[in-house]
Amino acid sequence: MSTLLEVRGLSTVYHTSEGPVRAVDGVDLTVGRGEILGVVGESGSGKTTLVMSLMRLVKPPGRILKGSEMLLDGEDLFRLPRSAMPARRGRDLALIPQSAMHALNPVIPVDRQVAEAITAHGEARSKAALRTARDRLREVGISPERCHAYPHELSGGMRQRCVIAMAVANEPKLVIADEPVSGLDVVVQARILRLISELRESRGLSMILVSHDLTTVAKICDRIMVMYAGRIVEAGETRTVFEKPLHPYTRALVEAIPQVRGPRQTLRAIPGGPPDLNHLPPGCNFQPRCPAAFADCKVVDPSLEEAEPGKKVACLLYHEDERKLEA
Amino acid sequence: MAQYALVLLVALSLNFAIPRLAPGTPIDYLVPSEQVATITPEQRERVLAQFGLEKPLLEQYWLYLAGIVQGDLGYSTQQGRPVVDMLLERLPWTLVLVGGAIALSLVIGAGAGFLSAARRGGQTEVGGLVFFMFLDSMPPFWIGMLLLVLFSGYLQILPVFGALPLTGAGGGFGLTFEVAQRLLLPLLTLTLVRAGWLFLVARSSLAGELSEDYIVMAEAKGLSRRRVVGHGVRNALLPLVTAVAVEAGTVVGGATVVETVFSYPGLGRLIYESVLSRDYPVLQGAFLLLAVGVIAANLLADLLYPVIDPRVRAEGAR
Amino acid sequence: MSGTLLGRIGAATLILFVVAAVFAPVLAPYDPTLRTAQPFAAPSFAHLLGANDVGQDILSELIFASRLSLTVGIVTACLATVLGATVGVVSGYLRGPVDGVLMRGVDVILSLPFLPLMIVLAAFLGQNTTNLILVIGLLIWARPARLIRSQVLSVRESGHVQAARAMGATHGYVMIRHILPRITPLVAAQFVRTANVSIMLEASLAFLGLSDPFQKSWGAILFYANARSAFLADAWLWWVLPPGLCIAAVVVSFAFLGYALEERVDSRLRSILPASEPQKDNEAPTPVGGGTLR
Repeated sequence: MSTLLEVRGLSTVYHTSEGPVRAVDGVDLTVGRGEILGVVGESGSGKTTLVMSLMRLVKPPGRILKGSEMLLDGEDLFRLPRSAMPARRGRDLALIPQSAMHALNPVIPVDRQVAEAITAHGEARSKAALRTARDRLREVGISPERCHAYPHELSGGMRQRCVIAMAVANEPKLVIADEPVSGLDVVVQARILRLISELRESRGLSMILVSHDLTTVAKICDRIMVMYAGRIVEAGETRTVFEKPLHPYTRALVEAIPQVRGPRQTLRAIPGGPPDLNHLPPGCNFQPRCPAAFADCKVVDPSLEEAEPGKKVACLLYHEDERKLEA
Repeated sequence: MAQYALVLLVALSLNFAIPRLAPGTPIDYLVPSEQVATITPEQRERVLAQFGLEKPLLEQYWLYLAGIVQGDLGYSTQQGRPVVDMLLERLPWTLVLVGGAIALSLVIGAGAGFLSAARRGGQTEVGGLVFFMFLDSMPPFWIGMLLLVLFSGYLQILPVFGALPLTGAGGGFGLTFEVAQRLLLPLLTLTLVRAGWLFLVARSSLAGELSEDYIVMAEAKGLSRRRVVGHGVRNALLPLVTAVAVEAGTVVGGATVVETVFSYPGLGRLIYESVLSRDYPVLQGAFLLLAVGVIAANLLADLLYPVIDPRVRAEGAR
Repeated sequence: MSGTLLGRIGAATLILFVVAAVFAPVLAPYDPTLRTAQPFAAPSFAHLLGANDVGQDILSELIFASRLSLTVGIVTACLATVLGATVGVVSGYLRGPVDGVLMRGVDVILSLPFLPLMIVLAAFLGQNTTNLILVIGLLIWARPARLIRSQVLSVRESGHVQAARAMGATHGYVMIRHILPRITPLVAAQFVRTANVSIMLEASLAFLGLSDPFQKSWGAILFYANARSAFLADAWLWWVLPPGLCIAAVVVSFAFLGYALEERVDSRLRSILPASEPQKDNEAPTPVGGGTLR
C-alpha cells in the first residue's frame, strides 16, 4: 500500500488572553491509499483542531506553526499560498464536519448544495452538475424525490448522508470525517458507518476518521491513533490497540466500553477530566490521572516511540532508556 | 393577522380618544384656532350637532368608525377641504420618498455591513463601524440642513424648493425632472440616516451567520470566499427583512422631519403644517394614514418571509 | 478597537456635557434669553458663535440648552426603563396569561409609528417639557420591556431562583431579590439606549416646533434656525452646525457606552455557558447601534 498522506510535526497554536496554547502538538501521521485511519480522543483533546488544520481551515486566533508539513501525494499543502486552497478543498481533501446536522445551509435544497460542490471544481454547466449531484445522492441512499428537499425536511441520518454525498462528490483523494455519527441514534449510526465502508470498497476511499468513541473507530478503521492533550499517545493496528492497549489512557478507554458478552464487569470511568491546555502538568500530560504513574512521570515528558513492531506509544512504562537517561 | 387588526383598532381608538381626553373641549380642535376665543354659543351648538358631539360616547365612536370605513376623515379647519383629499394628494410623494429610501439604504447600508462582516478584524472594519455609528447618531433633519447648505448654498446645483406647485414645463419629461430634483436631497438624507442603522444590523447578522457550521462546510467544499460569504448572506437576509419591517415606523418618522426641512410636499410636511396651524383633523388623518402604512409594511414582511426562508414556509403550511 | 475603549470615550464625553449643563450659568458668557448683540451677528470675540435672529448669544443658548436636552433624555430614560423593567420582569417571571396580555400590548406599541403619534399627542396635550417627557417615555418603554422579558425567562430557570421558589419565597421577593440583580447589566444597557433614543426624539419634536417655547433645547435652536433659513446664509456655520454636533456627540457617546455595556453583558452570559471549543469564533452577533427609533 503506497503512502497518500504524510503529516510531520503538525502543531497548531491558539493565541488566548492567557498566552499561546498548543491544541495540536507535534503530530505525525500517515495514511495509505485506500486506508482508513482512526483518531480517538476525549473532547478537548485537539481532534477538531487537527481536522481543521488538515483542511487548513484554522481561524484566528488559531495558527498552524511553521515547520508543520502535510505531504499529499508528495506535495506540501501547507506551503501553498492561501488562495490556492479553495481549489484543493473538496477535490484533494474533503471534509465531513462535526455536527453534520448543521453543516447544510438551511435555505438551499440539498441537491443544489451538492451540485455547488461540483461546479466549484470545474463543471460549468449547472444542469449537468445537478444531474451528477442527484446521482451522488442516490448513491448514498437519498431517493430522487427527496433530492429537492430542504435540510429541515430531512431526518438527521438523511442529512448526514447528504453531507457525505457532498464530501465525495468530486472523488477526493482523502476524506476527513470529524465525528461523522455523533448525535445520531444507534441504528442510524450503524447504517452510516456501513455506508462509509461501502463507499470505501466501491471507490477506494482513503480516510481519516476522528471520533471520541473507540467502538465507532474500531468498526471501520485499519489503524488507530489515540490523542491526548494535543498529542498522539498510542498508534497501531486497530486489532492490537483494541486487544492489547499499552498506554494506560488507551487501556482506560478500552475498559470504559460496555461489554455485552463475556463475564459481568463493572464499567470503569477515567477519573478526572482532560487537562487545561493553559496549565499542563509537569512531565507526562496524563500523569495526574494515570493509575500507573510513578515518580519519573512527573519529570520526564515521554515521546512517541516504537514499543513493539508496528506499535508506538508515548509512556515511560515502555521506555526503559528514557527512564535511565533521566536517572 | 389578528395582531395587525389589533394595532389598527388601537390606532383608530387613539385617534378617537385623544381629542376627547386632551385639555379643553373637542370644539377647540374643530374650529380654526383663531376663532376658538370668539365663537358664539349658537355657533358652538351648531358645530357640536354637525359633528355629533352631543351624542353618547359609544355612538360617537361607532359613527367615527363608520365614517372612516366610508373614507370620511372630516374636514380641514384651515382649508375646509376633506382631509382625505388632502392626504391623497400628499401620499404619493411620501410613498416614493420612503420606498426609495428603504430600497437605497438597503443596498448601501446592508451592502457595506455585509462587506464589513465578511472581512472583520481589518482596519476598514473598525473604521466602518465607528463611521456608521456616527451616521446613525446624527439627527436626520440636521443632516438634511447640512446637505441643503452644501447643494443649494455652496454648489448651487439644486434650487431650494418651497411648497411650489409643479409647473410641468416641458411636458412629461419636464415633470419627471422636477419631481426628481425635489426628491433628490430628501431621499439622500433619509437614505444616509437609514444606511447607518442598516449597516449595524446587517453586519451583526452576517457575522453571526459566518460562525455557523454550514459555513465551514461551504469552505470545505472548496467554494471561493465570495461564494462562502454568499451562503451566509442568504441566511442573514431574514433578520434584515424583519428589522426593516419593524423599523418601518421609524423611517416614516424620519421622513416627517426630513420632509419638513426640504419643504417636500409629502405627509410629513403636511403634519408639520397642520401642527403650526393647529389643524387637528388633518393631523389626525395623517397619523392614521401613516399607521396604516406601517401596518401594511409589517404585513408585507410577513408575506416575504416564506419566500426567503423555507423553514417559515413549512411552519406556515402546518 | 475594543468596546471598553469606545465606552470610555463615550463616558468621558457625557461627563463633559453634564458638567457644562450643571455649570451653565458660570460657563455661559451671557443670559441666553436677553438680546445682547445685533440680530444675525457673525462670530466675534464678544460672541464666539454669533447671535440668532433676535440677537441672543448662540454659545450661551447652546450651553443652557444642554440642560434641557440632557434632562429630557435622562428623565425620560428613567421613566421608560423603570416601566420597561417592571413589565419585562413581571411578564417574564409570571408567564402565562399576564405575559400574553403584556406582550401583546408591547407588540401593538412597537407597531405604531412613534414620531407621528408623539407629534399628535404633543400637539393635543400642549407644549411643555413635562408633556414631552411623558409622551416620549410612555411610548419607548416597549422595546426594553421585550428584551428584559426574554432575559428574565432564562434567569428564572436558573438554580437559585428555582431554589428560592421551592423554599416558598413570595413572587415579589423572588423578583426583587433574585431576578433583578441578575438582569441589572441588561437594564443598565437598556437605560443607556433609551436615553439615546429619547434625546433624538426630543430633538425631532423640538425641531418640529413642539417643545416648550420658553425653554430651548438643541432641537429647538435648530427649529428657529430652520424657520429663519439660516442655512442659506453663512450663519449655518455657527447657528446650524454646533447644535447638531452637540446632539450627535451626546447620542454617539450613549451609543458607545451602550456598545461597551452590551459587550460586558455578553461576556457575562458567555462565562455562564459551558466553555466552547477553542476554534469556535466567539464573536457573538451583538446588535450595536445608536439612535434607532427616531
